[in-house]
Amino acid sequence: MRRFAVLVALCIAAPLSPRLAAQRNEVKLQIALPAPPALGTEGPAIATANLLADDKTRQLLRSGFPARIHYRLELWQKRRWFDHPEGRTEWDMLVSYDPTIQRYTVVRTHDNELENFGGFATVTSADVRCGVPYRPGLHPGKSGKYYYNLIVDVQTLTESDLDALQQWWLHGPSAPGKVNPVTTIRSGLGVLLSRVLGGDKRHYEERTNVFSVR
Amino acid sequence: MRRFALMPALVAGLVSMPAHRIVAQAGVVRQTLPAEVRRDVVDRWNRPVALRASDRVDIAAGNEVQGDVAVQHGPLLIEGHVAGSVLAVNSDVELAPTARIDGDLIVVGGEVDGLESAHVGGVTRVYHEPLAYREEGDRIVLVEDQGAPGESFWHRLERRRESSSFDLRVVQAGPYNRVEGLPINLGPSVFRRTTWGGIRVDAAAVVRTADFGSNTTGNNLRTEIRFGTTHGIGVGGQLLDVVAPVEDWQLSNLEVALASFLARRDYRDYYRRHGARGFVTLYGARNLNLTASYGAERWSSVSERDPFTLFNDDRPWRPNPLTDDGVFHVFAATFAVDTRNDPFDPWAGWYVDADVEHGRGTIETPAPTGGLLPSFVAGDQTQYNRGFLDIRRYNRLSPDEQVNLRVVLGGWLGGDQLPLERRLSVDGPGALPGFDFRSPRAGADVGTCNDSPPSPGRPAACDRIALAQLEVRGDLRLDVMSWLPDWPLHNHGPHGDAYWVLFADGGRGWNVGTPDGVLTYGSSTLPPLSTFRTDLGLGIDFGGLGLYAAKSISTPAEPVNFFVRLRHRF
Repeated sequence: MRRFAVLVALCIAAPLSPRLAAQRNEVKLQIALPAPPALGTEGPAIATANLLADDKTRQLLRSGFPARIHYRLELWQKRRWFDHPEGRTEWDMLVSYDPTIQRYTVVRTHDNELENFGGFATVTSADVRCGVPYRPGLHPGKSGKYYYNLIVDVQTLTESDLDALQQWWLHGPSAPGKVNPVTTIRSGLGVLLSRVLGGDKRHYEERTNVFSVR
Repeated sequence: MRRFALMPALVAGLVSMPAHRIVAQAGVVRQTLPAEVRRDVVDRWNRPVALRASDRVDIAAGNEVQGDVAVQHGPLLIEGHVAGSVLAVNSDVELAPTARIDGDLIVVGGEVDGLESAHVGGVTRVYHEPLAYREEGDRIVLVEDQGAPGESFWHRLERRRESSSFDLRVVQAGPYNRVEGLPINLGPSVFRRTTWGGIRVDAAAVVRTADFGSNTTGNNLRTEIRFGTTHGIGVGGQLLDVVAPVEDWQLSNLEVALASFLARRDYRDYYRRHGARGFVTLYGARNLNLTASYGAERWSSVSERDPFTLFNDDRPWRPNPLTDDGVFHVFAATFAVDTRNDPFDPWAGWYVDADVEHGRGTIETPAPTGGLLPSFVAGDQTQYNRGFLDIRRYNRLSPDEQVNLRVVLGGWLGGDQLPLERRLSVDGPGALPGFDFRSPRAGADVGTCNDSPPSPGRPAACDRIALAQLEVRGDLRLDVMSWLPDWPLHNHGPHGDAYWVLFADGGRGWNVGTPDGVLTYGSSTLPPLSTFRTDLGLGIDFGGLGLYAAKSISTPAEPVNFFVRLRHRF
């Protein structure tokens, strides 16, 4: 009975403790709509926070593996039966560490546009630069009810799958210093599942409420 | 301590230093712009231009510059028309909504305002880092970089994508299976982009981890020449000696591989393809793919081996069925339309995959078909027509719910009977999950068209199949996986990362011939809907990992099936 109680306590504690820790660096996506008169003429401002804050991404960046943050903003029109995709736009933020100047370079590419924000001393400052509000210019063209859907994928680019595999084998699935077996098992399970389900990519979504354009 | 207190002020002073001051101290600065960008900027500046300035420039509305514009220090304000490219070096650029630039806009060491409303005909490149250079008359010259000539990874990657690459690749050639174990492609991959298109060559030896007898290695040499940069026509050829699946439309490669490796359960059958094919393809068209091909190949049976599995290692593998061995000439056309908003997590749009095939050949060793069908005889000349159509429609009912429909039709269209390599089935978790895959059943099996007793391995033996799948999905509004930081799907804000799924499926296979009312129907007859297998099910989908239960409706004696999918069902 006592063993059972300990097991139940572990099961409850395991999901809760990292959740509390994770809240400090919680990823945030924000779609800020323009003021109502401009809803039909201006796109929303997209801001993010802590997309590069997790230990694994930081470690990979420091090791020379660039990170790609892919944004897809969709505009949906609310219709009577089925919602209709009115438009979408996609862009990327690329972050890479250049050891020769010891800087994290941040680049945004959007269709035919490339914007190089230069070098940043830390991953945190590069992360902040990635999260500065960006207005991609997708907006409704006619009256109706709409909502925006934002999908953000964070992926660590590797020279080849073998490099990634080597990285995984050499450094293991958990960060150094973590010896808690529950943490290790959870981390290993997460890495295994993430690889099985499509590689080392994290997927985030955010959506606005339905708004009207007159 | 005082020294440290001075540091922020010093840093602030350096940051606020105007660009030309940095230029003046060029001997000690370290260039942070990519080397090719620096060279490109200097080249552009030193070219003949229509307007060159070293101070504020204002191109007013209604004014037009016939040629390129190059400005340093600036700022540059454009309200009018530039019939060329614009280069701003260590200068800000302000574009009015009326601004029109026919060529490129290149800004180094500055910011651009008004880009979203102005018109730029070419590419836009903005680099916030200043350029260190010195002036020699009208020309500018790069200051030697004091640091190592570093080039960022992403730029190397971009450049490689843009020009050429040579890689020695070791990649998985297909799913882990009971015939090959793990097939691995080992060999070089060469890609070169040219002004008129591109060339790609992939040459690989196929290495198999299962003991494959005297033919342990295969090969796969594929080359393609593309005419057109963003869209055009591709022409290619392939020499191959590979093991191919009879049907691959039901489950993904990953699902098949994991089921084989973990549970010793292989959901596909295989045969060997050895020969050559050529193809023509249209590429670059938005949402559309069209390919025509011709191949001359020897098809032959392969038997299962005993590759390692993590569990159930003491159980035998399901026999890999024998196929109709011979030499075939195959003309095929494939057509695909994909308007889905997201191929991995679609909420709206169409997906259509259709192919038509004409084959003719000589049967050398026919497969036994258990007396169900008129089998081939060795030496038979045969020709057949076959088609396959997979249509899916995804509909978003609301921000949180969707209803999706899929119809699959395939099989014999004309000519002689189909060889076993081209027959079909509707059976198991990828098609009718309420019916266990290839499980023993008494009497005629309308899922695989095997009569009793079935052929070894219970091969897909239907001339035709029809399958309809309907599913409704909705958000559970639960962030179930937040405790796994590596979980690939995290939804934030209004919805969670788990979806409920309700589904219904109906389908069957049949043969074409003299009607017997059970497994064989006339060529223009659809079997009665009452003879179709049907099932209902429900499940939970955690960002692609779905746990489901399905129950047969048409055959109540079938037990409830529990299964796992690693992708959406369709």
